[in-house]
Amino acid sequence: MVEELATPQLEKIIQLESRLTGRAVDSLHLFLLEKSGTDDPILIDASEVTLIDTTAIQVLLSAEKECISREKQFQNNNMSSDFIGAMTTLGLANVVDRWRDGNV
Amino acid sequence: MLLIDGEMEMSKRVMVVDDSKTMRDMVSFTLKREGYEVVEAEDGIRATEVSGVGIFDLVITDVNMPRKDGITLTKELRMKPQFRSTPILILTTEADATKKAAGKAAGATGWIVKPFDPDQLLSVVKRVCR
Repeated sequence: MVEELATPQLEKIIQLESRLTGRAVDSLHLFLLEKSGTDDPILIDASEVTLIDTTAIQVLLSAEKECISREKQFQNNNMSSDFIGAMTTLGLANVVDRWRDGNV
Repeated sequence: MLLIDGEMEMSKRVMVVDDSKTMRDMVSFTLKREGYEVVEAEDGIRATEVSGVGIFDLVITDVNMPRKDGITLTKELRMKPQFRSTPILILTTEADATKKAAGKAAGATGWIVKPFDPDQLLSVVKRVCR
C-alpha cells in the first residue's frame, strides 16, 4: 500500500545533478521547459548538489514563476548545504524558505 | 505590435546580449510574454553587428562574454548616435561591485542583478523603456 502511494509521487521528483553548471544547466532548462507544458507539479530534489551557478538558480526561479502563473505546484524541500549556501550568498535565503514550503 | 484600447502600438524592441543561451532564453521569454520584441546576440561582437539593424528601445547585456565584453559593448554603443539615449542595462551578479562601477562609467543606465526575479526584471524594463 505504501509503495503504491509512494511510487507515483517519487516518479515526479526531479533529482538535480551534483554539478549544475554549463551544459547541465542547459539540459535542466530544456527539461523544465518541457515539464512546464504539462499539468505535472514541479518537485525538485537538490540534496546531491555540490556546485550550482547563477544561471541554474535563474532557471529554477523562472520555473517557479511559470508554475505560479499556471497555478501548478513548485517545491524544493530537499536541499544540500552547498545549494542553500549558494542561494544565501546570492541573497536568496527567503527563497529557500519559500521553496521548502512550496506554493500550494 | 500591441493592441491597446483599440489602437495599434508598436512593441518595444529589446536587444538581449548574453553568451549563455539559457540566460538569453529566460530574459527573452519574460519579455516576449509581455509583448516586447526581442533580438538576441551571443556576445559583444554579434551585438555590434545587430546594433546596425533597426532601432532599439533598450539593450540588456551580460558583462563577461567571449570576444567582446558588455562594458566594451556599452562604451561602443554610446558612441553611436542612435544609442546615445537608449537605456542600457547590465546583467551582473551582486558580488561584481567593480563591474557595476565600470558599467556606469561606460554609460550604462543601470544594472540587473543575476539571478533576477522575472517580475523585477519587467518592472525595471518598464521603468527605463518608456
